[in-house]
Amino acid sequence: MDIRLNENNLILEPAIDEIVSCLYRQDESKGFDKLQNLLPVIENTIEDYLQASNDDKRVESEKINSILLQLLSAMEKRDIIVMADILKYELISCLRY
Amino acid sequence: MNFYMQNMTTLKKKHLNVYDILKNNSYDSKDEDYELDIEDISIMRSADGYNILNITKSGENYRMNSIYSLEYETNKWLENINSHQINKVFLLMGFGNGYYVEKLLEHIKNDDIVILYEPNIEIFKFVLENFELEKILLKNNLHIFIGNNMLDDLKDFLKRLIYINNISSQSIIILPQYARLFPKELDLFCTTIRDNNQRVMMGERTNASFGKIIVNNTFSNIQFLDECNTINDYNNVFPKDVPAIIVSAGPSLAKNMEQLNKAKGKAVIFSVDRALEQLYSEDILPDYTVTIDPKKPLDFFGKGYSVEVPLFTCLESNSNILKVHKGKKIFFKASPFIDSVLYKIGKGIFYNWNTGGSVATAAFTICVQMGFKKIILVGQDLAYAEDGKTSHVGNIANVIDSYKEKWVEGINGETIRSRLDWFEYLNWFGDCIEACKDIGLEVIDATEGGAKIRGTQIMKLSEAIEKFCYKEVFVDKIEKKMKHSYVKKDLLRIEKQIDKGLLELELIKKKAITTSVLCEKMVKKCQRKTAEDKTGKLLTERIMKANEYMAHKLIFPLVDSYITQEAQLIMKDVFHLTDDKDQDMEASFTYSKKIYQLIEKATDDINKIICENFKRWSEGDQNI
Repeated sequence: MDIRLNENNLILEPAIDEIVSCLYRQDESKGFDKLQNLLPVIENTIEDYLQASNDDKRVESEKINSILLQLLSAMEKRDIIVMADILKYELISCLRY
Repeated sequence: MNFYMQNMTTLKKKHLNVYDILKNNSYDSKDEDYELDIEDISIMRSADGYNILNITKSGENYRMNSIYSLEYETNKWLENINSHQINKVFLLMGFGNGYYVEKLLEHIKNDDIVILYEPNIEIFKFVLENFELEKILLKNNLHIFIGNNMLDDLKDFLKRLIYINNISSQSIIILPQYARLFPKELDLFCTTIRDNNQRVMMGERTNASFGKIIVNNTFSNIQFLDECNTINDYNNVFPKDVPAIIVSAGPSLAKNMEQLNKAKGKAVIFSVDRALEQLYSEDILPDYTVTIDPKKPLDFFGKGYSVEVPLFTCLESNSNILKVHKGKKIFFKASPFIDSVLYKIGKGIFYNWNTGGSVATAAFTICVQMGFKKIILVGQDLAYAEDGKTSHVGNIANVIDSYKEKWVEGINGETIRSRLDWFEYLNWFGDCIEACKDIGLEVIDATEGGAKIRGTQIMKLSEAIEKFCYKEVFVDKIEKKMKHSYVKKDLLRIEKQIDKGLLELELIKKKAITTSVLCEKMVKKCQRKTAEDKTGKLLTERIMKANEYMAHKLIFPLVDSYITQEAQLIMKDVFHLTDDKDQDMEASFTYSKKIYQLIEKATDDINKIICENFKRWSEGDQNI
């Protein structure tokens, strides 16, 4: 599990950096497309994280859900600043094990 | 001194227009166009120690920058900013907290320009109060426009700044969140830029395609300087309370042109070339007619009729039209070189206007320069007729190219179909009428149809004639008293200057040949990476001196005009740079060599045109 989580993170972090770069460079459509393609990896990473986590899984699950809801809200509003912050600084740090 | 006072002091020094707006509060927050729903502006602190803005609008929060790292965000943004071209123009919407602007100004070259439009004055004021902006505001290459009130200033600035050589080096940048916060203002901003670009391209297409024809026409038309007048002779010759009527060939002319006979003798009637046929068919004789187009088809100049009324025209207008016209020519504009020749003999043509691009706009400038205080526009539709297809009087329907379509406001507030070029003229009229308010000019749009022209009083032609055309004017008497502008002595002096011009062409040709060789040498030096050694510097200096030598010749503007079309295609690429300095220099000298080759050929062509078309006055007079 730990190995798979680490492998996912190795894919996730640079991919999220690339998405964030697109958003900051105001290449929105490219950023959104890349995010769309990355969603399965994010999903798998969250799953692996929750399984591997030693902390209270309910608390962890709620924390991740909250971040994802904020991300979704920002995506709906096309708020690229908040999206970039959530992806780069909140989602990644939350999923680090 | 607090931030606000310090920033305002700097604004007063460098951005006086902006300072005036803020100082006088000359923006009305109760104006219905003004964004009222900015509820709050506050400051948040980012994790990397910067103050960022948080704006609340319509109940929603807009965090303007990253709460974690403004530096990382800005550095990523800058990666997208291409500063490889020279003389770039960055059109930036949004000031934000100033950090993006500061970093952009550091990133670009000193020759690049940043035109910044902040749509919301409250945001700008807040930033002035809470951030130190002196470093940004002192930059010479930054030009600021704030709020709706300054959009017209932005438009005027773009008109002065953007021309064919930098139009492709513009970059439009919208600061984060501004597109979401101010979609209407973004639309206005982009429309202003786009409209200006279209204006530039239209002007350049005109100039480029007419270059050779202008030279041909000039030397065919120069014979008419004998027995002509110039616009100089018409300053204030008509009483101030007599209006001018400009008759254009829009579809609405058919509705009301029969009224024009009631104005005859009580107004001075100017007909554009294309309206002549219609007027003559209704036995309406204008007092003057106007033509400017170097390629105007003969059929559009009173087809089937002998036109004898005096003709306001340019030396570069279609020579075939000037030949068939039977009356007196009145030149209001000379072409390059001849313009200088006339000034040299002390009889230059004084006309300081931009013609506006159409015969109707040119007629308008002529009337203003002549001193008319009231101008009545007839047939000035600047739009298709109600059927959406008819473009000119006489039920002429031009094929509608939907790519060039433009929808505008009609005189009754409805939306009507127009064209891109008419839209340019519509804006031109609005701007010109606004600029002429100071001289007490009144413009009445008596077209009774078409587009709404900003700044005009709209009324029926019959009402306009009743209200404004009451004083008698005797145009024939004024014309009979007019002495010709150029006497024989003047014509012979002009002839002598043209002979000097022919000699100058030979000198320019020789210089172009040698300079072309110098450019070839520089290309080889660039390939060997020795362009900047002592020899390279000497060669470059010789090329620069050669340019100066040619440019100082009186006839050079004519050569320049002749090669414009081909030179433009070459010059566009000169402004694109790569990362390799030697490669860029080699490209620059390669293009320059092509230009000098064009100049060499142009001198031969122009020489031939002058010899074939110019009828010397000295040959007709054995006593000289």
